[in-house]
Amino acid sequence: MVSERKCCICRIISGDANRYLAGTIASDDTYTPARPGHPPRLIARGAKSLLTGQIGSAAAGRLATQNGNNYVKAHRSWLSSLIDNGVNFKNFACDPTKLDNVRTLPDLVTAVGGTNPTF
Amino acid sequence: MFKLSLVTVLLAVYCAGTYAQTSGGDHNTIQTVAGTLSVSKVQRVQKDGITFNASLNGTNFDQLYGSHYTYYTDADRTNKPAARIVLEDFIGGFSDLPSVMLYDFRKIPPVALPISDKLDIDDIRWTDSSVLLSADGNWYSFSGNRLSRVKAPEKAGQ
Repeated sequence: MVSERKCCICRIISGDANRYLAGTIASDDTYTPARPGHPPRLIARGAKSLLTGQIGSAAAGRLATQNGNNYVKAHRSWLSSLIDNGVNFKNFACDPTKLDNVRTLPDLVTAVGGTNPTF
Repeated sequence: MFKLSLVTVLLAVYCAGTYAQTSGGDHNTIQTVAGTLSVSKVQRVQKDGITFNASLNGTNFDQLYGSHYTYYTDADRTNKPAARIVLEDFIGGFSDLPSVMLYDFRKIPPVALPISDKLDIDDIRWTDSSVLLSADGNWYSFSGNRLSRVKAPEKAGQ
């Protein structure tokens, strides 16, 4: 069973990763336009849903408020700080002194040709 | 011999109404009561995000947006064409809950109805008027465009 709250790594390596790298995650969920026999259907989760799914609606709301009521900015900054602070490759190195400091997630996004939206 | 017969009968009872999930490939063809449904991966994903095109008898029917999809038909284990298909479109990738929809080919014209984007389906049963979906140990009924929680169906006669 896939739980509603999944680790951020799972999210990163999932299909949302492409939209994250491209900087195209919208604030709200995206639905297909309605047409006869085809009611609207969810086709992409937005930053608000993604962030709420990870940390709950109250915490997501607080983060959005701290980021000027911008869920896209809140989601990106939350994910960046979580990865940057939570994933430290030096912890897994035999000799951490021989490893360069790992670049931050926004820098990595730029390095692989992605887009970091400006807010 | 009696044991073998008993096992056979038990298997028949417990397997009744169980429908296998099929993973969609780059190109799938499914025979339905309304004609041939073809689901084909797009060569290159455009800005609209469409990853698969579904056509019915060569005419555009629906689009998928996920990296992959799986489906259940109500014609499993028979050679009959499918009248209904439940399709899971994994819009968030492998680790996220899919967007689940019902293709009902009994309607004229056939329809694609959204069921839920919060269910990770692990089993399905069909009745004439509804489809029963199992997810996370609970059962749901989708009927008349509405999803509601129901009791688990009994194993026999499903």
